[in-house]
Amino acid sequence: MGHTFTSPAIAKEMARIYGDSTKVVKIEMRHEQEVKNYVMKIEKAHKKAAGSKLNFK
Amino acid sequence: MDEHRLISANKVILKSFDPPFSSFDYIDQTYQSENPAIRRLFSLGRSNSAHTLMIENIDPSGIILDENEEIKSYIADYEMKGLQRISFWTSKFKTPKASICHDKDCIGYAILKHDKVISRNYDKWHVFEAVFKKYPHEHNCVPNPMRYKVNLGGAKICVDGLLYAQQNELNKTCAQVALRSVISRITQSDASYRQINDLAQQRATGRFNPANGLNSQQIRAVLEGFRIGFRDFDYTQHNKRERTSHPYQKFVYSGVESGAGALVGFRFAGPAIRGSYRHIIPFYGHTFNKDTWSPEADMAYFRVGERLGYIPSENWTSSFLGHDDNFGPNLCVPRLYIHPKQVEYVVELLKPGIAFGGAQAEALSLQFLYSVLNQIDTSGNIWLHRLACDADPNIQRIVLRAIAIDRNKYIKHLSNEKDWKQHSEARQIINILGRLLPQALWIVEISVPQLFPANERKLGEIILNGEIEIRSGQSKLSHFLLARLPGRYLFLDYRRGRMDFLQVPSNLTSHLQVIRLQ
Repeated sequence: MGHTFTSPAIAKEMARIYGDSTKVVKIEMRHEQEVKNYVMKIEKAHKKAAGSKLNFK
Repeated sequence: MDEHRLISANKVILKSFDPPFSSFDYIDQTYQSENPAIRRLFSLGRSNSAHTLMIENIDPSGIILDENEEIKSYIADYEMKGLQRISFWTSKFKTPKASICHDKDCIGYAILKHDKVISRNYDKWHVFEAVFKKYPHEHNCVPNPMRYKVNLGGAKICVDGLLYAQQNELNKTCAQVALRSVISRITQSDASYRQINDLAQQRATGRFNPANGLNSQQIRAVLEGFRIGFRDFDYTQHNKRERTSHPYQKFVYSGVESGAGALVGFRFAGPAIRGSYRHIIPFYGHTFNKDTWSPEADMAYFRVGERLGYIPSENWTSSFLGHDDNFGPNLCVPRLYIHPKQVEYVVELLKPGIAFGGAQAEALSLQFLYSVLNQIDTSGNIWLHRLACDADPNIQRIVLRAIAIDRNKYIKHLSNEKDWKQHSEARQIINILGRLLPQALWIVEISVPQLFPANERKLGEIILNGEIEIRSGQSKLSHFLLARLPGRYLFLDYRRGRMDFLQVPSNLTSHLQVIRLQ
């Protein structure tokens, strides 16, 4: 998973230290498409703004 | 870069600022021009109860000398005719001794410059720079103010604030001065206009004249040249509805709340306007009104049935604090005053190491939060139960506040804060987080109405890795590091070869203070 997933490394360390007091829970992610569209719109707008030529004086 | 601030004066004059001294008369006689920004400086002195005005004649040095040479390279008959450093003091004194000048008594300072170009019939004073302290009211929020050291009356005085600068129509316009203001804060240094113009010139088509202003490509080039991260939005490139779905205020608030700031570019309006005239101004802070009606009313009356709603902490902001080079420093611009149809360009500035914006951080967190709170057992903790009730799809009254900070600041916050029952977090958890969290973080603080505005407290936070850029095709939890909710933490757990979450108990079972950067 590379460096992008730091959370599992922390989870591993927490599980090692807290053992029995930890609990594994399963959560299904919702609203995925809606959120993805929103955050990618900002990324795309930022890239598109590279071609912007509005002048401020 | 602060040579021009630290230079000793040739001559120091002290004047009582008390009646019968008239700022209007003094400005008319000394600067002989109707410059609203100079009037604003004296007005700030008056409204902050100044008793003494110090006027120092100084020689050009550092970036002022550099500016003079730059202007001469464009305009052969340019002359600098005068340079003054003025400062306003709450104390009364008649002799400028270093031993009687103290930081706490200084309201602010300004360097005023007199430029002349005979061939253009140009003969004007302008504010090369000014720094004034913010009003002391606690709801006047300026995260991460910059500290400027300046030689006043022979003493090295520190003034906390954000640098203001004014255009002179010779080598700098609103764009260059707005950029210098935000660059000085983020880089904790300063920028010369030659540096700014050299970077802008790289994106010029044809002959570059800095007096013609900068376009958005050149603004981007300057920010990139100073290695300042940003997210910008040119609304003229998009459908009109983007002004509502991605309002400029959201970008401004994210930038100012994290202590980096924002730029807003707008188009002039009015019956006398012929053609397109645009102006750009920097923002660095905001006001906070805990009794604001709109945060809850907005969700209850005007967003009924929306699929994914929440209350951004921005909704308690009445005004943004910023500068307008035409009118002076430290101005309140009502958050909803500049009509969205007039705003054509917005830049959310990012703190060093941060790779995406605050609105994106809030959205990524919301996805996780609404998934979790509607699926986990909340019966063991009343605050978690209350939070889950507010996250119900039919209610959606969760308050989110995104703030970009570094790991050390978060660890310090977690170490120092206690919940309402005076519980502290376990040292072992803090040590693991201090060791394994990345450096640049987006912290999205979670609260509920009446808890957040009343005493600025929160029920938890979602922490995202701020160092990873957002790309299409990424895993939905690529940025997720952890969630702290009342009584528990949640971390991603891959130990079984599938994406689960590991729940770890937390000593913090109720609410604690939000992170403050002031």
